[in-house]
Amino acid sequence: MNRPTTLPTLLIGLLLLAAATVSAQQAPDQRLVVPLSNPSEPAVLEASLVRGTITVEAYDGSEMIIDTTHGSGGEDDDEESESETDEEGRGRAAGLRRIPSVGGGLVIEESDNRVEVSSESWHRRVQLRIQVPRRTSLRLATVNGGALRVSGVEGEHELQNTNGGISAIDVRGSVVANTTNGEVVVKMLDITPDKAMSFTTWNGDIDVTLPGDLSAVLLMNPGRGDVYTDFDMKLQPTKPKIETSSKRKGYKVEVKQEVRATVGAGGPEIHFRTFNGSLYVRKLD
Amino acid sequence: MNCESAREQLIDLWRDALEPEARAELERHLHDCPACERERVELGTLWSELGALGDDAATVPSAGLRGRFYRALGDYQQELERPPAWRRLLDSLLAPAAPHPRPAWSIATLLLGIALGASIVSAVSARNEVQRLSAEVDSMRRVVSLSLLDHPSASERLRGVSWSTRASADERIVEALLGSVRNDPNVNVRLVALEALAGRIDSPRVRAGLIETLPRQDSPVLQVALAELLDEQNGSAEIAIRLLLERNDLDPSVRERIESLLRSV
Repeated sequence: MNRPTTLPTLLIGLLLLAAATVSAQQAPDQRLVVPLSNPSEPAVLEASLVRGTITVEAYDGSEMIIDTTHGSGGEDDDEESESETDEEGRGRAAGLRRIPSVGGGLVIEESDNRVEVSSESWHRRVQLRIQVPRRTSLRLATVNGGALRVSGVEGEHELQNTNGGISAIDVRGSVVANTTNGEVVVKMLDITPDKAMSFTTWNGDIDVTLPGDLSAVLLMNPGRGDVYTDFDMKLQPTKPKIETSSKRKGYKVEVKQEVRATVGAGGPEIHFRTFNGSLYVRKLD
Repeated sequence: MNCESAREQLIDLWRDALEPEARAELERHLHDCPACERERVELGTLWSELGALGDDAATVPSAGLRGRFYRALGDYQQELERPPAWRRLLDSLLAPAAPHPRPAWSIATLLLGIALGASIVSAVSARNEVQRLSAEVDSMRRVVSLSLLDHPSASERLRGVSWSTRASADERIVEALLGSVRNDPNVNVRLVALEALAGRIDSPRVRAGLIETLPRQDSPVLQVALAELLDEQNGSAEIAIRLLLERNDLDPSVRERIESLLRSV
């Protein structure tokens, strides 16, 4: 394996494997390959959708490969399966086949290693699957219609969803993630020192795995839920808030729900906040 | 009779004032005790010599005595009037008659003066210096905070909020944080900025700014966090909370939570 002559063989093998995986998943309606202006430098991907899912995976290449799959139009508000909507449309479209609408309002721009992908289509569900060079910072946002998934990418990531979960697995760098309805699952292999991070959801759990040598200040507010962790933390006492009211007699003592804890030697702040759910802060094995 | 009482009686013996029995007894002891006998002989000689001093010798000073006395007195007074040793050393060093040590001493004195002066000045200004430095650090934190709050990266903006909580309250900081709560594209940053302002909710400007932004918030997370924060501060926020409830796009669970909040007041 050390000899260079075997490398091309290996690469071809990998490519075939990758192709096989792609075809096994689902053939995209459209594939666009976006070359970067400076392939040796880290890239930035900004992708925003109104309806649809975004999946970003790191691969050992220097271009961005954008696969788009469009759902059918109409008011379907399904979550994951395309087949369901197809069945729905069968009544009138029985015996006909659907020609996927190409483009679908997708706009892609590249400038100085920054790739922007956006869809103006709010009535049509879009599935974006983007393969990016390993060192790429992500800014992903979607509103309805599904999950936001990231794997293996290193950079400064900002992930926003509204009705759907967020998962970022085996990522490096920093993550700032929030959604409204859905859970946030993040597993970080490595974090950039001195970067602040934040994980927020309204309905759902937050489950974050961080490197064992973490050194940070954690601010955890589980709302109605609980905090679970296997990190050694120095909890900082929170002062109960005592307020007296001129209108009512007596006073009100409120103990803040937020837990403030130092891990390691302390450092940047990492915020965890869910209003209806629990917090899980795990140590990477 | 022992030696002690015998020696007490020696004086009476010399004065010839002893009773005959006592005298006989003493003489017997002296005969037996060589030590007492030796003392009787020695002191007896002195006694008889003292007795031999004439009356004139005891009462009239000799002619030379007067002169010696006044000389001794004069010497003593002179000794008293002389400056102390350190003063004499200093005088000798500073005296115009001693040209060599003078420049060296002057320089040493000058340096000492500078050192003393410097230490006194620094001691006096140390407190001012600390105050000035802490003011500088504070203003540096504000500058860092303000510039980070404008950063394109959400992570950096989060740090900016964190910096702002370490700086003293400042109008620009408050406005910047209010701006973040109102307009930041990232919900996380908005939420953290709101939490930073929660500590300054006693300020009328902060309260007014937050009340104003409440009905415009799109994110359920912010809507609830803001409503809960403002609700803790009696009445005046209620209108804003009711305005928020009039929004059509309000998440049902948010509506439920905020309505229960209003009921509890």
